[in-house]
Amino acid sequence: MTDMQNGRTVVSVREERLEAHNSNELKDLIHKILEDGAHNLIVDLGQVQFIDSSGLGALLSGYKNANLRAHLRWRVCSLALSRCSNSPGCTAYSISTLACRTRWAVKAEGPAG
Amino acid sequence: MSETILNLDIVVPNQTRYLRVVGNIAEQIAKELDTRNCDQDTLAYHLNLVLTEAVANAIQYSGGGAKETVRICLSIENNDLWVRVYDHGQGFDLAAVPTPDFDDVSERGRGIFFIRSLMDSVEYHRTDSGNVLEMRKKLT
Repeated sequence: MTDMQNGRTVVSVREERLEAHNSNELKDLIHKILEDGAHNLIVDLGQVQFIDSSGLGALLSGYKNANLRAHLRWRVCSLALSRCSNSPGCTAYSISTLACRTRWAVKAEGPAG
Repeated sequence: MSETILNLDIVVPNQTRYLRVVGNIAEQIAKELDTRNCDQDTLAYHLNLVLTEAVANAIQYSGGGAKETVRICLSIENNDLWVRVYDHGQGFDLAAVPTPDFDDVSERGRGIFFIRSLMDSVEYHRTDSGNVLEMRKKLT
């Protein structure tokens, strides 16, 4: 679902799982929004409880695509992976680490805004 | 003498729409296990991810049409959880799958890395009846 909020394009993923079955759809949507000239894009994962490698790939694809465009602000927010956030070896930690290494602006909690 | 506590055989069409079903089954099984040394929710999430990655790989490499299936076997033997995912594709060389370069924002190539990170052993065999990705997790 795509929405405009205060000049920002917000893509809200209304799925509990971002995985091989639906990640291409998100990837294509992000690319289309960037092609259409969006300058400030937020991907809101507030409802997402599970991300696999292809879901992560879709987000990385968006990040790469956004990074190619000057003056474009890219954010991934509301990463709702709190179920195992206390375990140092957990998947959420791994994904957060990947996020840091790829210098995403990841906001761990809170709505898009 | 080995003791088998659980032996579950699941066959799903090789379509990604069934990944959710497979992942949910994995989570429910993890929540039924007697896990003394690890957090049950964490194990459930890990199993969900491992099985989702393995089945997605099997679907991708099966090369078959909609009538093809993916077989998944889950068993607990001597405090080890075994997950076996069978496919009928051309197979791949597990040893040749590299660890991802985290400085490179490549979109692909992390599925096997996740599986290797979360399981205690991962092997891929070619058999007469197809290929099997065999993964083991120690429960205690």
